[in-house]
Amino acid sequence: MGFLKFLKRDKGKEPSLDLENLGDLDVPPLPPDIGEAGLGGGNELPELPELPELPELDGDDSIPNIKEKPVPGLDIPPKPTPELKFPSPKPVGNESFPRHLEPTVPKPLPSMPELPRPERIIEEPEPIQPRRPLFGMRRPVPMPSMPETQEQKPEIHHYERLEKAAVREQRDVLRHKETKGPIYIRIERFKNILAGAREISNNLKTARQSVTKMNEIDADRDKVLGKWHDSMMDLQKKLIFIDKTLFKR
Amino acid sequence: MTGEAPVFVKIDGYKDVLDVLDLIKDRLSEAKRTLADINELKNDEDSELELWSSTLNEIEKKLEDIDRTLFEPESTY
Repeated sequence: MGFLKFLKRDKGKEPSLDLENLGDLDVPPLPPDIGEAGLGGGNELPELPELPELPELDGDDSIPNIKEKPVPGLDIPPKPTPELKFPSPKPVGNESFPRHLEPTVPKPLPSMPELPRPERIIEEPEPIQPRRPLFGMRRPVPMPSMPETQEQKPEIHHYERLEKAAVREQRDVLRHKETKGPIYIRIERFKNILAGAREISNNLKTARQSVTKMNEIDADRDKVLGKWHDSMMDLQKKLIFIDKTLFKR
Repeated sequence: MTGEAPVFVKIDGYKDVLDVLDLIKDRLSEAKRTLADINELKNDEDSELELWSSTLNEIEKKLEDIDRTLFEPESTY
């Protein structure tokens, strides 16, 4: 595997990273505040001063008695603490449920003497007569009209509506037929009827023209069909001729 | 012109007019039925014409085949 030699380390060319040879590396310069002495290269640290000795505590590790200093202008009278009185505990003995909780058997009531039944006669009540008004008859005060509550009408089907309209129209027609004597109609309606009749007449004229045109088209079609029939007959004759000419024995 | 009195027109043959209107309604419904029949006949005619057209195309193709077969120069003499 000689061709993988380029992957091997060449120790001679690698820089040594030991602390001794640290100066050979490319290290940025130190800040001006720190000289070479700041790196510990110079003197030792100064000795710390001795701490004062603390007083020895009691063996109970309790806080020593500290006297409070009185605050000037702050005289708070001491509050008398009320004496609490607790009830003396009752001696626990043979206690049972209270009497009102115990089940009681109802005692039988003494029998009551029967009362004599009074003989009552029910009379028919007298008919109540209306009181006579003092100052004439009063008219009934009309009640204020209340707005009618809108009842939810069921949705009328379209067919039912159409049926009702047809029945109404037919009834109107029959009512007019049964009338006797001269009949008058409003002139506006008469004018509308005349206009409608004129329009119907125009439409009928258009329909007549359409029928005439359709008749012409029909005649032309008959002609074309006749021509086509003739050509078909001619074609058939020629085909028969060819057939006989080709396949005759 | 709300202040004017309404003007009426006297119709003499009112009942005859109503009868004629009934007759017109009958004729109109008959004409509608006839138009529906004509439409149906027209549809039948269209389908028949289409069939004829396809038949003619087929005949044309057969004729071309026969023509090619009969008049194509052959070298197998």
